[in-house]
Amino acid sequence: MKTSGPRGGCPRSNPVLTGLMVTSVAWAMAGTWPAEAKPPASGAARWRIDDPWVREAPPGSRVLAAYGTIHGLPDRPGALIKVESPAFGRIETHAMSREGSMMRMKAVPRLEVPARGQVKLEPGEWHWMLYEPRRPLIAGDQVDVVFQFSDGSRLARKLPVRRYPAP
Amino acid sequence: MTRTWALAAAGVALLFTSTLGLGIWLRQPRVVPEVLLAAPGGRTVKLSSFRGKWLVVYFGYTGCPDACPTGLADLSAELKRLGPARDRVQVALVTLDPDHDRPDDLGSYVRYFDPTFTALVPGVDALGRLERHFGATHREVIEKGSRRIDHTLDFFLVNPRGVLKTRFLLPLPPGVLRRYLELPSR
Repeated sequence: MKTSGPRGGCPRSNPVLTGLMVTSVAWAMAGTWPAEAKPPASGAARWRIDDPWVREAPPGSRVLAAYGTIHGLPDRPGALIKVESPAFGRIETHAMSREGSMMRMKAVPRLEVPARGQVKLEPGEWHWMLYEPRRPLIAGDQVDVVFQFSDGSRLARKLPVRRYPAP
Repeated sequence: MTRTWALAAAGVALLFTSTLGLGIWLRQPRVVPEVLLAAPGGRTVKLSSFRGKWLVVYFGYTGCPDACPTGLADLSAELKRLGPARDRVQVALVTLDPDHDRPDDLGSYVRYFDPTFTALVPGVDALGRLERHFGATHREVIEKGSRRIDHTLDFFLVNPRGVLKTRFLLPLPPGVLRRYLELPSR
């Protein structure tokens, strides 16, 4: 997972911290509630996720992972708060962190995205964990996924299932 | 006298701490323990069954959504870059979830990444002994009703004489793995 703020710095920084920092600055400047608490204005800029995809699972695997790059809104921070798909029982955003030689995985209920920043989920890093697939999925299939954000907006995407690495 | 000792100590240190780029070259190479492992096809093997080849051991499980499939796919790609030396390497996935991963299922799982990879299912005691020997760890986590296993990501390299030589993570700089394999087997 990689994040970058408005100035493009802090690659691989903690997105939650980055988001919090940006949020605090926004609070201080506005002297009021964070912009994300307000309902989205009509015609407001939309959330964007670039190249979202589902990794084909090896035979016998009971879980899958999905990846993609979330682009923040131009004027305010926000967060991804829910991911759903009719193809899976449950989807969680998972953070990876090292603890000695061990990799720890942790569910992140709220994935902060700084204004004009981006959060990248990729193999070996942060990912969406897809539980309880309703049917077997193979490379070439498409999966409907809905991403829900803290400002109430929803983004529906069709995610291709791909093999990693591409053969 | 002090000087002689210092020189000797420096020599010994040099001998045992050669790091070859990345990866930790173990100071006290040890022959891997002779525990019994269930393999696909109803076979029972030991790690010594693979002697004569370099053995790459990875600890993982089929319920692993990201780290294991990424690691095994990256390892397969790394081995392809070895050229002819590839034939001197055997890869074994040792499951951290012996209660759920059956040998044949685990075999299908690893062959998805590379048809030459093999799967090993240890008993619980054997898993503990292997992990202690390799310096690997895992921890079962149950969170909101779902179960997962956090674990060491390193690959462990055992030489053709059954001695654990080093551990490494991918990506490695080009050529480093080949240099490992060219080392004399002691």
